[in-house]
Amino acid sequence: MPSLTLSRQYDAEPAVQRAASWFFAEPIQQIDPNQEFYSDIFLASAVEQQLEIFPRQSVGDYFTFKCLMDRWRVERGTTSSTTEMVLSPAYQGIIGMGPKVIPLIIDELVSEGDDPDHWFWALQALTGANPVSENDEGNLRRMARAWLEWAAAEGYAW
Amino acid sequence: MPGSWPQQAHPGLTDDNCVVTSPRFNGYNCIAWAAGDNTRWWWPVPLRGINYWPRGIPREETLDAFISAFGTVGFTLCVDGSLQDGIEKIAIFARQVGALLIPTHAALQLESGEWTSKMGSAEDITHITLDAVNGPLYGKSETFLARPRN
Repeated sequence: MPSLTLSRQYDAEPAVQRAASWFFAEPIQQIDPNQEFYSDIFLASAVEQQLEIFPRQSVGDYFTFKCLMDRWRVERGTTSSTTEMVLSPAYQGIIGMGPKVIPLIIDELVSEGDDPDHWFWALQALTGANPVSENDEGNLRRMARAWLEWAAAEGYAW
Repeated sequence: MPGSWPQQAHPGLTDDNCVVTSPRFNGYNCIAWAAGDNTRWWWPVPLRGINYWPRGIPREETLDAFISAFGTVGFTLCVDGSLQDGIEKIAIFARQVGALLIPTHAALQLESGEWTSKMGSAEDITHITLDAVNGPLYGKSETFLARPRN
């Protein structure tokens, strides 16, 4: 895999750079953001295609989400309390990203398969919806299925 | 350190007094595990569509609400966590937050007298003593419940 070259627009914050380094196997090559020339190289480079899996404007959001998610999983530790879990600063940070994070959470739910995590509070807060039937409350697999059906009906692709 | 959690959260858990008995899993928590349910996450949040909580039991983080929730599966208050033939016991843990005692955890006694706990979203463990899971996150055991063992 070729190295990822970050232009100014992807050079948002150290946390995003760190997340990029986890996601892309090769080291990140920083470029001088003041030189237009390098932007042209970036746009023409082969690695550009790697980024096409995300809408261009959401790459930073994706890495921010991943950083917050990893932080949340550390912050919650072994708590069984949903209240503590959703009040952790990182989880609140994810909710604070606003509606643009909804497709990222949906994508994460899909990738978690049979062991979905506790995204349902955030999804309710962000969408105002609750597609989970009373009989399925607490059953995370069924809750994930209900939310994925909701997402499909709302036009979220993954 | 026996499990995937940071040691400072449960400084009393060591390789000598604790065995991990399952992989990590988000699908159920300690309250569900102690109640005999490994398919749901039990917690009394006021928002619907998030967690299971027995119908008719107040959705509040109080010892009374947790005692009532375990009452729906046959547990009643008892004196302590000593081992008794034919009796299954639960210890409810709580942490002092200001003037409030907030429930945090539950452990179930095995026939051997050891205890089993689901550690939040992490692993199930068997621990020799109840106090081994004490710590800043769970506080300590505050209330004991019992029912006839099947």
